[in-house]
Amino acid sequence: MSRESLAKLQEAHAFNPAPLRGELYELHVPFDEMTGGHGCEQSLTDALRRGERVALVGISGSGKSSITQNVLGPLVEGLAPLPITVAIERPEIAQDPAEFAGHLVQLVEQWVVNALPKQAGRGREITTPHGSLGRISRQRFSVAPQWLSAKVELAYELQQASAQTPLSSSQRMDQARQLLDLIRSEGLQPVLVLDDTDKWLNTTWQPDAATVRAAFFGRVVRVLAEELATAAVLAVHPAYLEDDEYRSAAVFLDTTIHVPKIPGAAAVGQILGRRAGLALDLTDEQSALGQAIDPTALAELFEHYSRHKPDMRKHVLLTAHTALAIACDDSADQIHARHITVAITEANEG
Amino acid sequence: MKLSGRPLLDTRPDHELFVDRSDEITRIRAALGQGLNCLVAGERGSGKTSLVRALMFEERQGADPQDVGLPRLLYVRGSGAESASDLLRRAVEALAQYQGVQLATGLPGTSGGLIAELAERARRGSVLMVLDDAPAAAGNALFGALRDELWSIDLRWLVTVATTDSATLLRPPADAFFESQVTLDPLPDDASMEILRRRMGEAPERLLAEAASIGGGNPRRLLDVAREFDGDYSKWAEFASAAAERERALAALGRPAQMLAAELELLGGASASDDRLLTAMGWTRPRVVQVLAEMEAAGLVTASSLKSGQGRPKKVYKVVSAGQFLKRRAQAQVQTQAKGPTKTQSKGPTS
Repeated sequence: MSRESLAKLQEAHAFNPAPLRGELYELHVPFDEMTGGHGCEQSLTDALRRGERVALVGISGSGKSSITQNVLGPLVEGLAPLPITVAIERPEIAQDPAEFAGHLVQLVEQWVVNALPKQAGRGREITTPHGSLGRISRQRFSVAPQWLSAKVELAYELQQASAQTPLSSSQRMDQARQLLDLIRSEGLQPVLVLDDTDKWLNTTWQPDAATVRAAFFGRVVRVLAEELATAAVLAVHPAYLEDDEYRSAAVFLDTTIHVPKIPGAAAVGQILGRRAGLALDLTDEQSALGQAIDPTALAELFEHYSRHKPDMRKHVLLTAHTALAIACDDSADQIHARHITVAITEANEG
Repeated sequence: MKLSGRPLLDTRPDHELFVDRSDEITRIRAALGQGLNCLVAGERGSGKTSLVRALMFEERQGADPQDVGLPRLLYVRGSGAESASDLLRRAVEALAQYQGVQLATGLPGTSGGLIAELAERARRGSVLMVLDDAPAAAGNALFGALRDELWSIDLRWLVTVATTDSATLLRPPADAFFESQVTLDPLPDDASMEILRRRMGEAPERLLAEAASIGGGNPRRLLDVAREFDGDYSKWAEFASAAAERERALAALGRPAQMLAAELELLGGASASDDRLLTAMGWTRPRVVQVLAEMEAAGLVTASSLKSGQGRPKKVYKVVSAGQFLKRRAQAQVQTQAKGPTKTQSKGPTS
C-alpha cells in the first residue's frame, strides 16, 4: 500500500474503536462468518423472529452492540427494532413496569415525529467531516428506527395511539401493548433492544443499584415476557449471570447467546479488512487489508487479543488504530509487527 | 510576584507562566488527533485546568488554513453540575456561544432532547468538547448511561477529573467511552522550581528547592507555600520546617485526613454537613466529624462559627496554612515556656 493510502486510512479513522453507532451494522463482520458456525448472529435472528427474549452475554467491548446492530440493521426484513434508551430524569423506568411501558410509549411518540413525511425535515442529518469512513460519511441523527421511515401509514397510526395520555398503570400497559400490536399488524416482529444492562443498572443515575437490579430483573424483564409478550434482546455482562436477581429472571429469557471469541489471526484480518475496504472504498476487502497490514502484524495483534479478556474494541481495534497512526508517523507503507508492539506498549503505559 | 493559585487561562500572559507538561500534552494531542476521547485525571491542584487551557492556547495559535490540527476546542466548566443534563446543557450553551447563536427559547428539559440539540449543533462545524473538572456522579451518568447516545454524535471529548472522583466517573459502562487516559503525576522538583522562577523572578535556589519539595509536585500547594512567605526570605528556614511538619502531621493521621484536607482546601472551608463535601468524599457526616476532630486536635484545621438563617450556627473548618501552623507553633511554645517545664508534651503544633 502506498503511504498515501495508509494516510487515507488514518484520516478516515478506519479502525476507530468507537465508530458512530449507525456505522456498526456495516462495519461488523458476523461472528458466524468468522467461526463458520450459526451460534451467534443466526441464532439471535432466529430467536427474535420466534418472538423470544434473548440475553446476549459478553464483556464490555466484546461486540454485543455490533452484533445487535448487525442483526437488526436497516436492511433486515420482518423485524422492527425498538431501541430503548435510558431517561436519566426518570430512574423509575428501570424499576416499575408501568413506568417502563410509559417510557416505551413516549419513545414511540418521539420517533414518529421524525418519521412522518410532513415533519421529515426535523430529522437531523449529520455530516462527519472529521474522521468519517468513506462510503458512509453521512449519518442521520435520530433515535427513530429506520424501518419506521418506510412505514408512513403505520407511523401515523402509532402517532394516534401514542398521543393519548393514560393515567393508570394498567392503561399505560394497555397503550404499550396496543403500539406493539400495531407494529405486528404490519407483519413486523417488534424487538425491544436494551443495549447494555450496565447502562440501566450500574451508573449513578440510579439511586440504589441493588434495589434497581432486583426490580429490573424481577419486574421489568418479567413484564416484557408476560404483559407485553414481545421479542427483546438484552445485552448482559457475564457478571450478572451469578446475580440472584438475574437468575430469578432467567426463566423469562428464552435464549442465552454468549458472544464468541475471535477465532484466529485470519478473523482479525477479516475485521480490519472490512473497515479498510469501507474507508478506501474498495470492494476487495482482503486485498485492501493485505496492503495495509502485514501477516506478522496480524498474528501479533491476535496474540495480544488472546492474552486478555476478549475485548475486541480495546485489544484489536484500539491497538490497530494506534498502530496505524504510528505507522504513518514512521512513514511506513504498511503496518508492521513493530508498530503493533509499540501500540501495545503505549497502551500499557497509558 | 504572580503567586495566585488560580488555574491559568488560555491567554498569552498566562501561557508564559505555564510550565510545560509536554509529555502529557503530546499524549492528549495524539489521542484527540486520532479521534479518541481522552480522560485526564490528577489530584486537586495538580494543574488539570491549566493543562487543558495551555492546549487550547497552543491549538489556537496554530490555527491556520494549512494546519491539520485538532478541531476547535470548546471549554465547558463541569464543577457544580448536579446531573448529566446539567453537563449537556452547558455543552450545548458553549456550542451555541461559539457559533454565535442566541438561544432564544429554552433548551429541552430532557437528556434525550439535549443530546439531539447537541448533535444538531455539533454537525455545523468540527469542534471538540473540553469538559473540565467533571463531577463524578453526573459524569458517570453522562458517559455511562448516555454513552451510546454520545457515541452517536460525531463529537470528541477531553474530560478532566479529580483522581478521587475518577473511579466513580469511570464506573462501567463509562470506562469504555475513554479510549485514552492520561494521569497527571506530581511535577518533578525542577519543574516546580521553574514555576516559582517564572512567577517570583530571582530567588535563592535553595529556597526554591525547599519550596518545591514542600509542594510535593502539586502546583497549587507549591504556590500556597510561596505566597506564605511573600518575598520575606528571612524566616524561610523556619517556615519550611513548619510546612514540612504540617505535612508530616497530616500524613500521620492517614489517608482519610489527607483526602479531607485536600477537599477542604479546594472548597476554601466547609462545615461537616456541607453537601458538597459529603458528596465529594462519599462519606457520612459522622465520619467527616470524626476525621475533622482528629485534624483539629492535631492543629491542622481551624473552626469558626458561622450563623446563617435559622438554627444553630455552623462550625466551618479550614485547613491551616503552613504560615498559620508556624504562628500557632510559636504561640504554643510561648505558652509552654510561660508554664515552665512539663513532663509531657502537648498535642498539635508543639509536638
